[in-house]
Amino acid sequence: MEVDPDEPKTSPSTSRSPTQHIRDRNRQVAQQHREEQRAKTIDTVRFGLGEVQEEVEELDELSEQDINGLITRITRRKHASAEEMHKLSEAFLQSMDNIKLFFEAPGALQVIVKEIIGLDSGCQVGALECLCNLSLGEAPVCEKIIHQGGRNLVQCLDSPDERLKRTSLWIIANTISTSPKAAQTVVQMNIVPKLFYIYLDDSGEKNIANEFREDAAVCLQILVMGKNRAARQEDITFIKDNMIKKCRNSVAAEYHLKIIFHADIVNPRNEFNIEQTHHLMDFILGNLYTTPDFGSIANRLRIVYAIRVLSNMVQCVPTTTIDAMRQQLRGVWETHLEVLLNKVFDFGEDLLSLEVVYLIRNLIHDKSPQPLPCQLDRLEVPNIDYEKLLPQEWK
Amino acid sequence: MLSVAEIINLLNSIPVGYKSPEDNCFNAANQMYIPEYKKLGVITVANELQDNLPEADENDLFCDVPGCQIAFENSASYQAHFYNVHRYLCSVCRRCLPTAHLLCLHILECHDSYFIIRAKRGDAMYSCFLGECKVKLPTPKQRREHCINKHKFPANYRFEQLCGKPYKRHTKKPSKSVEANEIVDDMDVVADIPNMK
Repeated sequence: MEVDPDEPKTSPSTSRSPTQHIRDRNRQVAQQHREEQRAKTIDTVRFGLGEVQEEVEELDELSEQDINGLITRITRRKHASAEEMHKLSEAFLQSMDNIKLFFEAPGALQVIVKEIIGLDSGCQVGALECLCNLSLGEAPVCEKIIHQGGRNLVQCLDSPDERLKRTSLWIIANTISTSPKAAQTVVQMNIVPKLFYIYLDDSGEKNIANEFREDAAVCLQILVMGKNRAARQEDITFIKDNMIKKCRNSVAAEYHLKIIFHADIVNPRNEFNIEQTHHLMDFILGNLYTTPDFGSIANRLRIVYAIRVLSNMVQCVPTTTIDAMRQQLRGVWETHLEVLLNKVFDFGEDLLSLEVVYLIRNLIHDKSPQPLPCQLDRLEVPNIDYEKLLPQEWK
Repeated sequence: MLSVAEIINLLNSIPVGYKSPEDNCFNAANQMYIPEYKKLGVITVANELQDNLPEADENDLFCDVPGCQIAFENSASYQAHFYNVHRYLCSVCRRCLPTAHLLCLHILECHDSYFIIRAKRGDAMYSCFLGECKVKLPTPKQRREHCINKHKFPANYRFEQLCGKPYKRHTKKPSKSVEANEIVDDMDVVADIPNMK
């Protein structure tokens, strides 16, 4: 007769010895821990609006009546269970109509927002995921989410629970990318320093299942981008003062130069101390030297923004930039600028090559300091139709 | 590959100078190489997994902080409870605060006699509830207004609880004499644990 190894061999719990009881308890906790860890790593998948039906066949399709029923139930009780929020969350992911239905229901959003501050971690996660899918809606929906739950979302960023922190970052990214008004509101809650500290957080290795630093970088880049950027001048100054704390080898470092470039930190009005200049130069030359190809998005960010920031630096702070560049090229990387630029030309990307030409133009002009850090005869500029690529106003 | 003369010709057709991040010359490369942010929702199977967990029994997790003893179904709930309720505990009155900054404010405002004297004298002593904001204001009321106007706290936010003060459901209209004693009243220590965060 076969014996099932999982079957307990002991008598019922009432007659178990204390040692056996502790062992059973330890096994139970270990099993629970494994379940939770598994849930943490595999259970979260992200989809755009309406994409979910194509990928997940077993998903329940909720009718308008079902959603109205859920809304009535949660608003009457002023409480939503994890299961109800999960259903709503799936409904929002399926269509914009479901989102509008919930948006127009008075008091429904408030119930979900209230669940974020509850003590039950399942409900907290459920509420945040519900808001995350709701934030796929249009600008008025996003503005309402930030108006009613923005403060709680910002507080969740301090949470030691990475899942809460990460889901909050997703909601913030969705809302600020949709509505400039929502972006301005979260900026007034002093979110930029908080995001930047999360982005700087150097603890632990990169974890694909739980990468909140990349999410923080995405939020930051949205806040600093555009002519009417949401970030205030004091936020930009904060980023400038603290940028040297970001290490080139740390997680999500590929966003660093993008944030600096779009925040317009390198401009003719700003001055940099030696430490800041060397920090930027380390990032720029390090990215150009160590990035092997132009395939992935991360590598593209590293290369494109290294070229753009360097191009502006040699114009705005020419002397210190060129001194720092010379020092690092000779002392750290043991190479020449021409070698790095030729490597970029070798990627065979026309528009990228044109941006390198912009950089060379800023390095070599009538007022440039002598001797130049770059010799034209060593450059392997590809022969492409630059006229065609130049913007209309320059032709 | 271009010759030196051709490179010089090409460079002459390009203007020198600083280029702002919004300059049109970056548009084509942005479109080609840098994908725009795409809004994404989230779907999870966590609830299913949690439903399959064994039923909680009397031996399951419970909070061992004296006076709490709440039982939990899983360690994640216990962890959330501990962080929310017991992490930042005032050693004087056993009150729990949600963040280190608010615990600092609580100790100053409730247990520091030097603070009370200076606040009574009218000095700007009340720090903003946000750790990142360095503004100090002379009265709790002004701080409340600052938080609402500057940091967009909701007007019905439970400000009293943020630094360990009781939440008053029905507040009487304060008379002048009551207002004068407001600061002293605020220093009352409350034993219950608020649901903050």
